Amino acid sequence: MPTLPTFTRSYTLDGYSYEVTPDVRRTQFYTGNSRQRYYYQNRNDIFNVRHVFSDSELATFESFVTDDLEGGSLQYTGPYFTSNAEYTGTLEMIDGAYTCELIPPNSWAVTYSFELKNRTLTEEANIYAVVNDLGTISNTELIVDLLAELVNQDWP
Amino acid sequence: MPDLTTVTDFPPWSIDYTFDQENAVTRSQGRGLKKQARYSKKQVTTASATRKLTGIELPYFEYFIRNECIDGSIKFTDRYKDGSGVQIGTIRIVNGAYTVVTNGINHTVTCQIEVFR
Repeated sequence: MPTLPTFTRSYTLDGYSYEVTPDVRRTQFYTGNSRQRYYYQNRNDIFNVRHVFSDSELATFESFVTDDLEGGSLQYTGPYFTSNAEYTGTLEMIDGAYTCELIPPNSWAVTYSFELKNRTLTEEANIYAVVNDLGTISNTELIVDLLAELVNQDWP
Repeated sequence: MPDLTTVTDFPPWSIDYTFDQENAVTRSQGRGLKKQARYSKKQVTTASATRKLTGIELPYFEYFIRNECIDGSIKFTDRYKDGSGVQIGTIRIVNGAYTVVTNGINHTVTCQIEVFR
């Protein structure tokens, strides 16, 4: 599986977002009642990202999408982050489409969306257990310390 | 029922909040006459809600929704706001779907929630 080339900078934090759309089916009854049912365990979240590239990095990126990903149709290994820890996962560009905008004089803002396949929440589970043991999430210093500790220990 | 209020000081849904109140009422019209009738006492309140989270509050929230609420498909106890201020009650995320905008530290979670009042 191709791997996204390493660039000088990762995704910009400006404009980074993701959408969680699990396979949950909803039925609305005429009486006003509604019911939701969970259909499929695996979940593919959609991330919206932005890179800022130099001329040569843009050429590298476009070559990667065109040649290695066969026009963006193939899955690849690449980075994503939730909170401020970066993970690696199996990604797939949505429709192989991306947008390039010139930032004068010679930088490019490239935006696209990718689907993260079968997102797991392993580190989230660890955080959940720790916070439940503490019983509170109100200590800001503790939050930062916990985050730093987990980043330094287990996160890739 | 899963309960997000057990952890103290978890931020509630913010005041960027509008809700639609739908009542189970039918309306019929014929020959200039209009008639309304209620066919159920059920009231459906759907709100567009935003939650501002910081740091590990986001992974905590995401795991709670994914694991405790079965990908957001079931109801859970949470804080919400209405005309009486901050309330604790039963809510459910519509279709389990939400959007996160983040800069790594500050996160904004947006979704549609049903409030069972």
